This record gives sequence, structure tokens and C-alpha cells, in this order.
Amino acid sequence: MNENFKESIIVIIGMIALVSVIAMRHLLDKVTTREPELSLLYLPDKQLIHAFALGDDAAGADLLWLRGVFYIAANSVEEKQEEFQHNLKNKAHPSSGGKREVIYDKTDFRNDPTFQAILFWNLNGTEAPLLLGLADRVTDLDPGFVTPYVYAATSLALFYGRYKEARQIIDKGVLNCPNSWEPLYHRGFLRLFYENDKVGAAEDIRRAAMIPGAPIIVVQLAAALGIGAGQRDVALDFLRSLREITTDDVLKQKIDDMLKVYGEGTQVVITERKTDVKEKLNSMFAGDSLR
Amino acid sequence: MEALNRISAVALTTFRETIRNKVLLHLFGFAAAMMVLGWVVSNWSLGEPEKIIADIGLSVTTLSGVAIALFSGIVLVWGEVEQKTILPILAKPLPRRDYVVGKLVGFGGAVSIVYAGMNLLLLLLLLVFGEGITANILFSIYLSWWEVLIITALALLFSSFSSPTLSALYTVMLFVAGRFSEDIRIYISDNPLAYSRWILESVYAIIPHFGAFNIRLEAVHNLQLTSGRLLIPSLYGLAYLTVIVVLTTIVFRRRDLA
Repeated sequence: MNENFKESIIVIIGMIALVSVIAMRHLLDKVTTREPELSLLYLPDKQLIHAFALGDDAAGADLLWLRGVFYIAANSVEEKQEEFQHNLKNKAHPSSGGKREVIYDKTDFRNDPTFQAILFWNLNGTEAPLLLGLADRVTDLDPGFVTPYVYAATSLALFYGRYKEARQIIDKGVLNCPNSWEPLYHRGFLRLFYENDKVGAAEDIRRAAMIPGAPIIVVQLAAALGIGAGQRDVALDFLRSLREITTDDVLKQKIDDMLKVYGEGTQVVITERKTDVKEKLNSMFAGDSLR
Repeated sequence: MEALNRISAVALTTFRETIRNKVLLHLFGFAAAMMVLGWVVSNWSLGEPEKIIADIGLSVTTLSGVAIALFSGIVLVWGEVEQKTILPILAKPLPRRDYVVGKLVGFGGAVSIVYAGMNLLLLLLLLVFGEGITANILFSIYLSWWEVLIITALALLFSSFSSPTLSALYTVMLFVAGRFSEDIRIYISDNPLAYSRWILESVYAIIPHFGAFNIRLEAVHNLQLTSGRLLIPSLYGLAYLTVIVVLTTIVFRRRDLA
């Protein structure tokens, strides 16, 4: 055999191997993808991350957070959306087993079955307890990291119906991030929608609106709460503002679905400039002006 | 003046040697790749991507600076002693003290330039994809530079009397201990046993307090910093560096190179 022939054989073998490597990638994906139960995220404690990150707690917090987000995305609630959509369409409370329920107290928007379907639908996902622990540990390492408080609180409440835990983590956020409007805004959301605490919600939103950097929609919402707009309109305004603020596409979709079924309502339009509205907010909120 | 000339001659040669070292280039490339990766993953964080770019970037530049100082520093004096190239140098009217200072200045300068290059890249990333450059970010880079310089000096100290493996081991041990100095202090305050307190307090006093140079949390959240928070660690860094240089000079002067 001459040298050229030998070299050609080697090149051909190499090319066959390369094609095999590419072809086997899909097979590898199949055999290496774990079931969600098997790929449960291990949440190391604060001290371990502190040691692993060589004392660089902020970077350790980021890495743990990203790992957690990847896990939750992989075990996403999206696959459970069909069940949710069915309940939403039928305006059914989760406990009704998906059957339509039409009798409710119209004086309180929280009794509206659509809202019930949205707010109290518990997906029973295994990610829920993990989410609280994840956010808690990440924020132990980096108390100023706002995203985990907000994401964990909205997800725990809106996807898992675990609003007590949501409240727990958002309270921590309000305490640790006094210069951020986001934890206050989301605590206001939880207070209004889950605890029916209109005064507390109005106060949180007012405080959020006064913090520099708060978007105009939060200021408008504070004003709407302050002038005592109708409950339905305020609730819808709140959801619209949440839709605008959130970066989570699944949550956005959920709110879109809800607005579609529930109706657009009358938006409380505040035409004044942001600064003028802010100046008036304090006087508006003297006492409980919500009806 | 003559001493200054001798030191600058050694420093210049060391600077050139270090800059030519390929390890530097590899670690620079690694740091650049990690920073770009930080930017990529920051978009998956569901919020505050600019915080993640800054966090990971500041962490990567510091750790890469330390790694460069470590890997290049541990062979600095040892290599010259092993290859006997140090003998003709010291045969000249060059005190060992000047040789050590020159080595540190040259090596420290080279490491600082690479560290500055990595941080320029980080600042560019922050400018384009982050929330811009704040004074706190610059202060954080400045304080971390002291950490890199101390590791540089420690690597040089160990390189002056032991093998690269042992030098790396000692430097890494001190780096890790220094990073956890804050934890040692907390442990001391909680420890009721008097004799172990005394030992721990001695350890705490000796090891470099790298926690003092870490203001990365304050930098990424743009929290207010006092002038003392910047000045005192700088003075501490300078004092610690001086101690290491003196120690290296004493150790190296007593070493038999024949």
C-alpha cells in the first residue's frame, strides 16, 4: 500500500468518526436527560457557597440563582398550562374539578372565579418549596439582589398558590432593598389579591411609586388606588402593570389569558405628568380611601 | 540613585520576561472568555443582567489576576536559581535586596498591566451591556488590585526559598485563608475558649485580610462607600506588601545559592 492510500484511509476513518459523533449527539441527549424527579436541584447552604466561591458571595449568589433558574425552566410550569387553560375557560375554581361555577359575591373581585382560577390554582409542582429555599439562600448571600425576591414571590403565589411563602420572601425583599420599588410593588400585589388588605396594598404601592426609578405605570396605579377607583378596574390595572413589569414570559402569558377572559375593563387613565402625580399621592392616601 | 538604577534594570528585565510568558496570554484569554460567558448567562437571570455581568466580571478579573500572579510568580526566582542564571547577575555589584525589589517591581508591573487589560475589557462590557461604569466599580477594581499585588509578593517570597509545587501550595493556602479572614474574626468573637482564641487571633493578625479588599457587593449595588473604606485597606495593603518584601529580602539574603 502506498502512503497516499494509507492517508486517504485515515482521513476516511476520521470522517466516519466525525459523522458518528454528530449522529450520536441526539442519542446521547436521550440517554443523559434525567427525569425531573432525578434532576432535583441540590440547594447547598450559605456557608458552603461562601466557601466554594472563596468568599465572593455575590458571584456565588449569581451562580446559584442561574442554576436554579435553569432547573425551574427545565421543569417548567408550561407543561401544566393545558389544565390551567381549561379552568380559566370555564371560570372554575381549582377545587371544583374544572366545572363551571357562576355564583359568586360580585362585591369582592377576589370571589370572581376567573380571579380564583388565576390566583389560587395550585400546580403542586415540586419546584415550589425549592423556589423559596433558592430565593432565600441567594438573598442571604446577596441581600441586594432584587430579582430572586420578586420572581420567587410572584411564582409562588401565581403558579403554586403558596402566597404565605410568597409573602415571607417578599417581606425579606422589602426589608433588604429599601431603595428598590419592586419588592414593595409586589408586596402590594400580594396584599391586595391574596390578603384583601386594601389599605396595606395602597400604602405599599404609594411607597413604591415614591422611590426613584419607579415606572410611570406604578405611579398611575398608586394614583388609581388613591382615588378609590372601582375594585375591578383597580385589579385589572394592577394586572396590566404587572404584565408590563414582569420579565417572565410564562407569567405574561398567564396575565394575557386572564385579561382576555375577564375583559379589558375601564382603564384608570392618569393624564398628569409623573412628577405632578407623585406630589399628589401623599395627600390622596390619607386614610383608607379604597371602597 | 545607584540603587534605583540597579532596581530598575532588574525590574525591566523581569517585566519583559513576564510579559513574554504564554501563561499570561492563556489566562487573559480565559478571563475574557469567562466575562463574555457572564454576559451571555446574565440574559437568563430573569432580571438585573447588568448586576450579573458586574459580579462575574469583577470576580473573574480578580481571580485571574491572582492566578497569573501565582503561576508566573512561583517560578520567578526558582527558575533562575535552578538554571544558575542568577549567579552572573549576583556576581555583579547588585545587592540581593535590590534584586528582590527589582523582581517584585518588574513582576508586579507586568501582572498589573495584564490585570488592567482584563478590567478594561470588563469596563467595556459594562459600558455596552451593563448599567455603565460607576465610581464604586472603579474603587472595587482598585482594591482588588491590592489583593493581586499581595499574592504576587507572596508567590515571589515562596519562590525565593522553595520549589514551585510548594510555593504554589503555600500561596494558595494563604490566599484561601486570607479570603476567609472575616470568618475567622467572626469565629473568634463566638469562641469562649481563651487559649484557642489567642491562637486564632494570632492567625487572624498574620494572614492577609483579603476581605478588606472586597467591596464587590457595594460596587454592584452602588452602595455608599466612606473614604476610610478605601484608604485604610490601601494603607494595610502597602504595609503588608512592605512586610513581605522585607521578609523575602531576609530569606533570600541568607540563602546559599552555590
